[in-house]
Amino acid sequence: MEQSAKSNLRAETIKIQNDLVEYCRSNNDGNVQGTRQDRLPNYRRLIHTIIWEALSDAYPITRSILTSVQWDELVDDFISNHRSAEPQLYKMPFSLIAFVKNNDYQKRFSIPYLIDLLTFEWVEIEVHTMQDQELLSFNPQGDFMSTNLVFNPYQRILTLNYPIHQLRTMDISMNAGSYFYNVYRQPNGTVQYMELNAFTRNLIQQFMLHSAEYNINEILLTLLKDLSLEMKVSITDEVFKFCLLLKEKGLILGTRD
Amino acid sequence: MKNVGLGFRRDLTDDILSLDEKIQPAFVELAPENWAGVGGYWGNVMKMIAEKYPITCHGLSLSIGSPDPLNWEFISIIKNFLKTYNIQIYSEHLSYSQSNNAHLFDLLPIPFREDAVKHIVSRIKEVQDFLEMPIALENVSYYTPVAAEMTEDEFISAIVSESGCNLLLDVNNVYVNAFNHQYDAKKFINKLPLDKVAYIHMAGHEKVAEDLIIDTHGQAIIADVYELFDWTLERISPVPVLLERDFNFPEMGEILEEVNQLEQITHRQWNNQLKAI
Repeated sequence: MEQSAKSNLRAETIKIQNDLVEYCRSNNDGNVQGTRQDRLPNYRRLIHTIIWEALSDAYPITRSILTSVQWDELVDDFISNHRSAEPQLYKMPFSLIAFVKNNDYQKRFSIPYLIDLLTFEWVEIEVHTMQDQELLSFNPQGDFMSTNLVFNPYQRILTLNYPIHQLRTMDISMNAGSYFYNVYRQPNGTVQYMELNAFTRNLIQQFMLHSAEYNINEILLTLLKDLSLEMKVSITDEVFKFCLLLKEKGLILGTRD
Repeated sequence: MKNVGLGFRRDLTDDILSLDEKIQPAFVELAPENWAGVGGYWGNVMKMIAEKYPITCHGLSLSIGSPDPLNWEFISIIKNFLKTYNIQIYSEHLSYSQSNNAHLFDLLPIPFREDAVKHIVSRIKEVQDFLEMPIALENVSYYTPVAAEMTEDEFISAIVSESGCNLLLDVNNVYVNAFNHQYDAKKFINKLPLDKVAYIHMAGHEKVAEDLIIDTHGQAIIADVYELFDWTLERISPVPVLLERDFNFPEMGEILEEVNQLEQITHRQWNNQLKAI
């Protein structure tokens, strides 16, 4: 970031401006030189409301999992102790994840999957708002095993430690493990997720990484090179079915024109 | 010729996009930082809005009065957004929302002081040079003075005259500040550089105590603010006027009635001098 020209501000003015900001961030009684103390709480309240609402909108499930006391405590702590360097309000909630991680709220609130839940919710927003891209020209009917693929660019693969997708139906606290998801945006703008396993997660990653240069048959040739012919045929068949599923869900758009 | 626009908020999307051309506002205003970099559903909405309306931008996070350095990465994002949508009017607030590298996303009052004037003037010039366009700065509402060494009108006038920026005159803010700090709104307006007013904001507010009004943008404009607006228009050349409504939304019909009321006043005061933005 470029620096502005040297400030014209006197040290006292800078201190007053910083004091006002620190007053608003904290929950402490304090004074700011030359202000009306009875009016200062209005700023603290307004700022608190703006940030509380932005975080609540970004993480509605987390908010519903925590008690209102816990949520308010988390937001208060975040405002007081985290310096948000992000000028765009809609991007600000992302930094709550690192804040929670760095301050061990998952232990403090006895919710071991807290970071995973926040991550899941944030990735949904990220994919939903991901900047539009110029799509490569593609043929939706092409042979996607022998022609290079064009993927939906609006997708993120997530690796989590808890099965967040089962949160509504069971207590997932005891189910630590490895869970894989593909979170993707459909053409109508809605965001969906697809559960993956370790194998399909790796497949998608490999396909996306190499699809500009190789088609799936070529990629599989390398991936499966040490397996028997029988295994190769069987896996290739499964991969074909998996690709059909990805196509049906809109994760594969088609083949390169 | 219509002259009055409406602040675009996501809650208003369906209404704003479906309004008939005959009754739609002259333009819409939006905060560029809420839309820059947004794709998908909302990116598509942004494109539809840009096809249907002229757009003006009113920023929130420039933090022109901050002791912290200007954020050029952010200003580049704004410039790119203005260019993408061919936006001719970009305004911001004469306030700060960040210091010590902490963004608070609200508009904090700047100490009315000579050193702050110099600091802000130099930053405005830098921003205008970079954007290659003048910006308009809004007189903000404030609930407490902050270690002031000059009056508010002196502060605003000095910044406008020394920086060459335009003034976004928020008539409701003048009313709110005059009430909260017990000064005469009309005398205050008369002391401002009215020849530099490039844009006007109108909004509702909420009286929360006997001696305090909060500038909420969540209520209808009250009669006294309409009266102050009417009085102000006699003293300035025609400029775009905007109705801000940020929450507590009534039916679109009620909002359009306010837009129409503002239109009638602008037409009465400015007759045929109105120009399209």
